[in-house]
Amino acid sequence: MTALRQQTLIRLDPADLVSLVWSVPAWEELTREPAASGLVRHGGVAQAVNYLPKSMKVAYSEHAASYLQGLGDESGNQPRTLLAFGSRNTFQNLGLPGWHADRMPRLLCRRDEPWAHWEYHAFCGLKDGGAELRRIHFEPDPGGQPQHVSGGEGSENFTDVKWAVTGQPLVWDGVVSSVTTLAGNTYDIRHLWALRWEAWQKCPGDFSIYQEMMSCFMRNLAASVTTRGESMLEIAARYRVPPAEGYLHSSLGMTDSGELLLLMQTGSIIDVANSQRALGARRAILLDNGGSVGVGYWSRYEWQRIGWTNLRDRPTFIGNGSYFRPRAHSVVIVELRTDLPDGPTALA
Amino acid sequence: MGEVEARGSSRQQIFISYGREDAAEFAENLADYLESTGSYQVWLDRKRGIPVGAPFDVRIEIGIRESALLVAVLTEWSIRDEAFCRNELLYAQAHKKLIVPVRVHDVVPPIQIVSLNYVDAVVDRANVNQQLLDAIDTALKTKSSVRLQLPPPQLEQHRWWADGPGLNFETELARYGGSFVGREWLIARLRTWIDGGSSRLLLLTADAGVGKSALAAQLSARLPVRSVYFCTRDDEASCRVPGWIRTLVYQLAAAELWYREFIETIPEPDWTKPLKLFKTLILEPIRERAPNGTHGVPMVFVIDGLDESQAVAGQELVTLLADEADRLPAWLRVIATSRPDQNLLAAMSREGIEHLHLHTGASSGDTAESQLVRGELQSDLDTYIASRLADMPDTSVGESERAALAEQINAAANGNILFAKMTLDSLSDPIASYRLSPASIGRLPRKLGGLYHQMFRLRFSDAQEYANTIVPLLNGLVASMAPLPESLLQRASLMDHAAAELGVSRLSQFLGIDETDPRIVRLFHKSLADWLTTPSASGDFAASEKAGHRQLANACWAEWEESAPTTREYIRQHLAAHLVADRQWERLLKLIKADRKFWLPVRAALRRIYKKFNEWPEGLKKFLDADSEPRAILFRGETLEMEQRLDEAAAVYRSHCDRVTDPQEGEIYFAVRVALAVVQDRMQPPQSEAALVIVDSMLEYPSFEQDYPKSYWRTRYQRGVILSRLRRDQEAIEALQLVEEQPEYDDLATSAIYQRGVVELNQQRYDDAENTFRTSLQRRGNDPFDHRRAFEHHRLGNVCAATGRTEEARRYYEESLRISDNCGDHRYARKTRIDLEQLRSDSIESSN
Repeated sequence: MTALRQQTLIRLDPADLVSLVWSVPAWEELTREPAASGLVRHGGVAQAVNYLPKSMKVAYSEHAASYLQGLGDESGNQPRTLLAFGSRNTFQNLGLPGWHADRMPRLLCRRDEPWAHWEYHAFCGLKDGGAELRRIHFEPDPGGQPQHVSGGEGSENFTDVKWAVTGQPLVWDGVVSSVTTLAGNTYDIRHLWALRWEAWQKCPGDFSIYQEMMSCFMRNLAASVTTRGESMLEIAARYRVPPAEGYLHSSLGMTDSGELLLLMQTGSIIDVANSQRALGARRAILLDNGGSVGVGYWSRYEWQRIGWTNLRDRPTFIGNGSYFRPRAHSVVIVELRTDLPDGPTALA
Repeated sequence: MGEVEARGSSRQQIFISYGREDAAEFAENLADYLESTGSYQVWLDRKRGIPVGAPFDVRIEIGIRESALLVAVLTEWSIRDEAFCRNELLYAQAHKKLIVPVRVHDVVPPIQIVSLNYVDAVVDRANVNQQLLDAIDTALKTKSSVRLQLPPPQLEQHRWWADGPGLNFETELARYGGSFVGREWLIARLRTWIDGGSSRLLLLTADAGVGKSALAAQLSARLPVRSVYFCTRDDEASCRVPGWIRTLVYQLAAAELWYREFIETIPEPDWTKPLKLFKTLILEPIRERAPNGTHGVPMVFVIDGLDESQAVAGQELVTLLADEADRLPAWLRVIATSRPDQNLLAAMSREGIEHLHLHTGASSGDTAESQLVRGELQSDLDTYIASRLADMPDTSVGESERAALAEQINAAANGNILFAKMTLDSLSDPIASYRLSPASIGRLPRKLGGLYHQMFRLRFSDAQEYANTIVPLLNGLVASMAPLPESLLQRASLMDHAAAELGVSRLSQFLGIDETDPRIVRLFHKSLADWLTTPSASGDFAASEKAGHRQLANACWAEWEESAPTTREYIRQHLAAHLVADRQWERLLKLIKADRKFWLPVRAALRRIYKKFNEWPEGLKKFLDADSEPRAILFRGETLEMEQRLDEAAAVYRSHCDRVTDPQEGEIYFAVRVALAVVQDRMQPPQSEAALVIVDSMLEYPSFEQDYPKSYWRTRYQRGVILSRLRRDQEAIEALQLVEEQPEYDDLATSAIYQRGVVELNQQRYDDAENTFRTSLQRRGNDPFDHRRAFEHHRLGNVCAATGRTEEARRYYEESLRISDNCGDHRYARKTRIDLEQLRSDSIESSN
């Protein structure tokens, strides 16, 4: 049987990280209409309605170039090793806002994001250059606008957080998330359940189930994640909706020793979570799915050999699926001290 | 004191277990009636002066022990989770008492007696006393409780749920359910979790000897338990998912009429793909069919010994539970017990799974909770030790020593009930030289292994004698795949009968004897097997699993050679496994060739170690490759076919056909040829012409139909299939119609109808094809697990798609997909999916 099943792991030792930057070139435009409506998947739409202009999604090489610009090395005179991985659900889908202490507004989210009610799990870039996976809340200022990142009710503000990219929790403190938790945190429910709901897919049965599930999700938007998740599971069980098991997913995990585990794997989200834990992740979040999964890689070796101008638009893509779309509005750039090991001298 | 006759009376004693709240009058009337017959003396708590609401009283225990039979009066009050009546039932089972239930209210019998027949006073109140008297007389005369009698199912073949071995766990319930000491705190805690906990699965872990299995049995009497399941390494099937699901089905069907009505509408499912069965056979029917009232009371499933399942059968059951845990509805809870195995704990570290560890030893990382748990366990142990010491004959331990002894045993056992039990058993050993002296208790080691060492040292002081007369028996016991017939163990030991018998007798304290057959033996606890097979722990007392496999392989082989047709169950089931473990390939091959019935155990034994045919040991493959006997060839070919290696399977069959050309060889001559034809026809690209030559040449054999009618009609059917693939449509239809006319081969005839539909579809005779597929679908029935129904739905989809009925076609395709999915037939689902996608893209094109 023809099949494509993948599992690609990029394991990054914290000692090899030079810097981590979150790149969202169109930040301000995203927070204004029409883009601020995001990618709408509820309310009876016949297919997902995308309010993001295409121009806001730029090639990965553009993100890398703007990283170099930030370093004052626009021409790429200094050869480097760069990785770029997407957080392409950020902002577009509900439940996946982003935060940057130096941007305005600080919270990058759809206008209907229930940020005041939700707790998020985020990959946080810290002001000291480090990174952590944290459970966070967004705290409002007196005017009701999101102002701070905190660890939750009664806890102190996380003043050390420079930026935060949220994702559904896969593993938290060594425990794999339940389907309930994932269901309560996932607006694009195709990633959890095999539903061919869009009109062009011509499955009216799936469409009506999908509408019922999305109505339930939106109705419970301000409820607890457990209530929301259980309600979704109840409907899925009632209609015997099978789980989605064939998607390619990308995920980011961290071990106790601070290693970053960038895992791209075909399977269900629970499969990815199990793999993250098996690989040693103490905490892990989901990043992208399907055609958004893939890591752009520029090697120092090639950079030295042919120069940035020639290399820039020819990154090697790692771990991507067969219909990878190499443009994104939100990408995390990682600079490494050395190239990814490969070839006969690389250690397993 | 006689068990059957009450003390001081020649009349047999009957114990009546009932709820005082709602059956006092019934019980007294019954007692008067039974006593009026003059045959029975009745034990009724009210008549013994036991006050209402008194805790489980030692007088009740004695009353049950001294009775020949217990009448269980089933009322709303008596079957409550917290009702003492359920403890009485368990206690009676633990002491192998006969039980006759009588249903006075319209209630479901508790899980412990779910498979027993009952006298139904709900249906016939007037004659209940007489009916009960008859039932009691019968039970006492036959010395067995009457098994559940069920009305015939709508379709006889759908009573599969009540068949098969290992469905009845009453033996385990009895083995583990004898003690009611303590655990009240734990029961209360579990009840709170059932009533309001957010997680659906509770993993209860404890080290060996804390009493997990006893607790699992005890829960059946104290919580709304609908199923109790014991995974035991003695029974490999019990460690696998199908075993659990079969038991769930049995226990639900025996207790719940609505479930029985559901399960009897479907034939036996395909157990080789068990993971989805939990959903289709258990979760979905409970969710959709259980009467509303059932949801008011949570259902609890108990699984004991997950670690044993993991050790014997891998992660399958553990993964199923972990994956399904938070898909369970709120009113369904699973309690699983296990040793704290690290791999298992990792797999179960999932949100939605609660973990409770029964800490027995103090450690620096103790939390307030673990201290609390340890305190409770200690208190349970105090109660247990006190009650055992109180029961001990005065000759072994004097009254004055008991309090000090209790303290010492408690300190040594450190929360471990098994340790305490072993110590107490040893203190009262009937053989003085084996008996532990009270003075030595203070010097006992603090671990179970240390205690085993001490007890073995006491019993087996002569190393040479131990090596010669005990080790051969222990080798067999640690290698056994299931409880072992004692005579087989003796034979495997190669000792003479008297010496072996003496050895078994000297080991008796460490043996668990089967309740139903005392001639079946096993080690009494897994911890002992672990200790014996870990030489660094057991030292000079170590036993060898490897040597045990060799001994048992040889003994089983010898016995099978002597009495193949009547060989006993253990040998039929496990000879192959011992041969594989000892790498005795020549014998394994002989077994394969001797009887097709061994093929399944042989493959199972090989798969336990080697995943695929390619990985089978070279020694075995060499023998198989070199063997030209038909059964060896069919075994090899089938194994390759099962791995979808059709080219290699065809080569195997072909080499046989080339060599053996005489039909006088018998049925096997035809079997290999038809196997070759099927494989050739299935290959990519199909070699249908060659396949047709084979079947035609077979059909030329003059007395084929007369001598081997089943093979003959299968060959005829196959001929039709091949002709249809070759697009020799008219010939195909004629060939298939011949098969359709054979009523005694109904299944084959239905397949022939379907195949004729395929030909008609190929000829674009859509109306005919539609009628034909509908006919074959109707003949298949509604079995959701019959994967062939997916074929018919798919083909009906093809007909509809070809005639422009897109929506209808989509529905058929989706139903076909659903059935394939149910049956795990992914290869066929892929075919259907391609047609479905085609239908969609055609629709899009036409709409553009």
